[in-house]
Amino acid sequence: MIANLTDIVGNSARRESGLCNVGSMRFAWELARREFQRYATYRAATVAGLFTNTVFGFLRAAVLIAALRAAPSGRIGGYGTREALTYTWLTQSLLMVVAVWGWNDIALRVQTGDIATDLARPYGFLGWWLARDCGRAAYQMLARGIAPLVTGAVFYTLAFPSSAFRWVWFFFSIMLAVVVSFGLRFIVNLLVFWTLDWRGISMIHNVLMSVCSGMVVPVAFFPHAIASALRVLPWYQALQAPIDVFLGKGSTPTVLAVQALWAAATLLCARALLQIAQRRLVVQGG
Amino acid sequence: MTTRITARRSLTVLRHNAELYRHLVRARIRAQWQYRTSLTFDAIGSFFLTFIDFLVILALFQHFPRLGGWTLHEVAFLYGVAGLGFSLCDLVIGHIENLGDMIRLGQFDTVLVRPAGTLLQVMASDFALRRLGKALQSLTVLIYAIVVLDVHWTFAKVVLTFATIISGSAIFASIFVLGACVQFVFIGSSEIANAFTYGGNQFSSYPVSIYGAWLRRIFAYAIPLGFVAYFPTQYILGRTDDPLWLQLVGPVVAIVAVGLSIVVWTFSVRRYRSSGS
Repeated sequence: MIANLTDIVGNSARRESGLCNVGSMRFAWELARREFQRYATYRAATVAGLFTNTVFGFLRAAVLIAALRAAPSGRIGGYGTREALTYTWLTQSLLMVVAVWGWNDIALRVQTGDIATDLARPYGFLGWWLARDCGRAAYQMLARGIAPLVTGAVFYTLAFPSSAFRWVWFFFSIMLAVVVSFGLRFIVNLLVFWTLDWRGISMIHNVLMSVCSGMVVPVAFFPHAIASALRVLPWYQALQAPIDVFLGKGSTPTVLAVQALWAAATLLCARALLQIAQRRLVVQGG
Repeated sequence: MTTRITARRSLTVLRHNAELYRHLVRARIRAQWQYRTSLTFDAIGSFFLTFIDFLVILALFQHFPRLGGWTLHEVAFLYGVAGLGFSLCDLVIGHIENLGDMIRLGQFDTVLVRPAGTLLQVMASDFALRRLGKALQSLTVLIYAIVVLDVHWTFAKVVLTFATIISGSAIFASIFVLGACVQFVFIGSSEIANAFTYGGNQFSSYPVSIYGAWLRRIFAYAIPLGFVAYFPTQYILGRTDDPLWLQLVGPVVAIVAVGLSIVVWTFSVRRYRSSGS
């Protein structure tokens, strides 16, 4: 049998817009909960990962402290020592939450052909993965997000927000960051429909994500023109934006607005790409 | 008389093992060469990916002339030596971090029943040529540093440069092996070793003088990462941050580290109990 799946998946794509009704909200919640539990089963891996995150935190903190000490004014790109340390431990906390190094769950399913079954299921493919990714992010937040920041606060003086409001905006910003990061990862994974190999694309994604999201060094450390350009690109929204909100850098409403725009834009792009990919998909076998 | 016979026998064993290793690795290389294009792209990809670490150093040096008393070009030399040591080790033995998977899938039991050394077999189980990308990147930075640095080269310095890259590899290799031994005890803990292997590479890419006392004690001496690049590089660059003996003792430290890791490995393998499934 060689069949084009557009008919079947066309239906599911239409249903996707119905993600807001009570039934599918419940469904999304259950998906997220199960993904949370799935990640929670790997306890040894969580502890090991936490240990490594923390060691890297100390190493990176040492480099930034030395860098700021070496700088003539004691500050780089508006960062003083306390802010730079806060930045370091926040990145160590958030890197698993926003999955800086990507993931290839969908790409592998495209390669094996399992994607055909996924697309034939009677619910939206994009919403299904988004719900699951929220579960993943929630787990990483609790298991890998809190401890590094607490460790950092124990060993160094960090710049914590002075108002409770800022904490609320910070969490809001993390949620938007997860959505942007999800949108980017989803797009990268879908590109496998065309390239058939995920290694090359994921490598490009990793480079862009590490450099442009502020993972390896605060974006403000780059020359001014580059930093300003990066600030409006999607990768920035996935990591540096919540850190900016936490540190009170720039106007918080603007940062959140840009994040929200990119969250919507990446999801729309992801959805459009999904539709094109579905039209391309030819299922062989039987 | 008997010692001479034992010596000759161990030499024969060594030669046999080297032959076996070469044979197995040649097979791994031939297998990867069947997918040349994919391999080339992977290597090019990792070449650029690993430039990110150096990009960080460049970005930082935009804001000051010296870090921990070292200039950008000196740090570049340090970075190149450390990276070359790490990536050559990674090529030969880096896949030992998958030991947990081997144990879980029962593949390690197969290793145990074969008539060859366990460590040798694990080492020969892969030879990921794409990792040459990082080696090439480190070499590029090192050559750049050598060109711009105006080092007063002597025979001793040339020898020490090569000796340092080899002993750096050996030190990293012993960390990889010890990290794998942890996986015999805690399965699924492969990431713990990352803190000292990849973390060790990160640590040794910067002058040790920038780290606080505790990090220095643990990472530069207890885990002898200072000898991977920092101490010997001082001799080559004519720096005097640390005493001369510390700058030259690297190869000895590497031999001790390798010996220790082999002892711990042998002990761990003897204690190993298969999960049996």
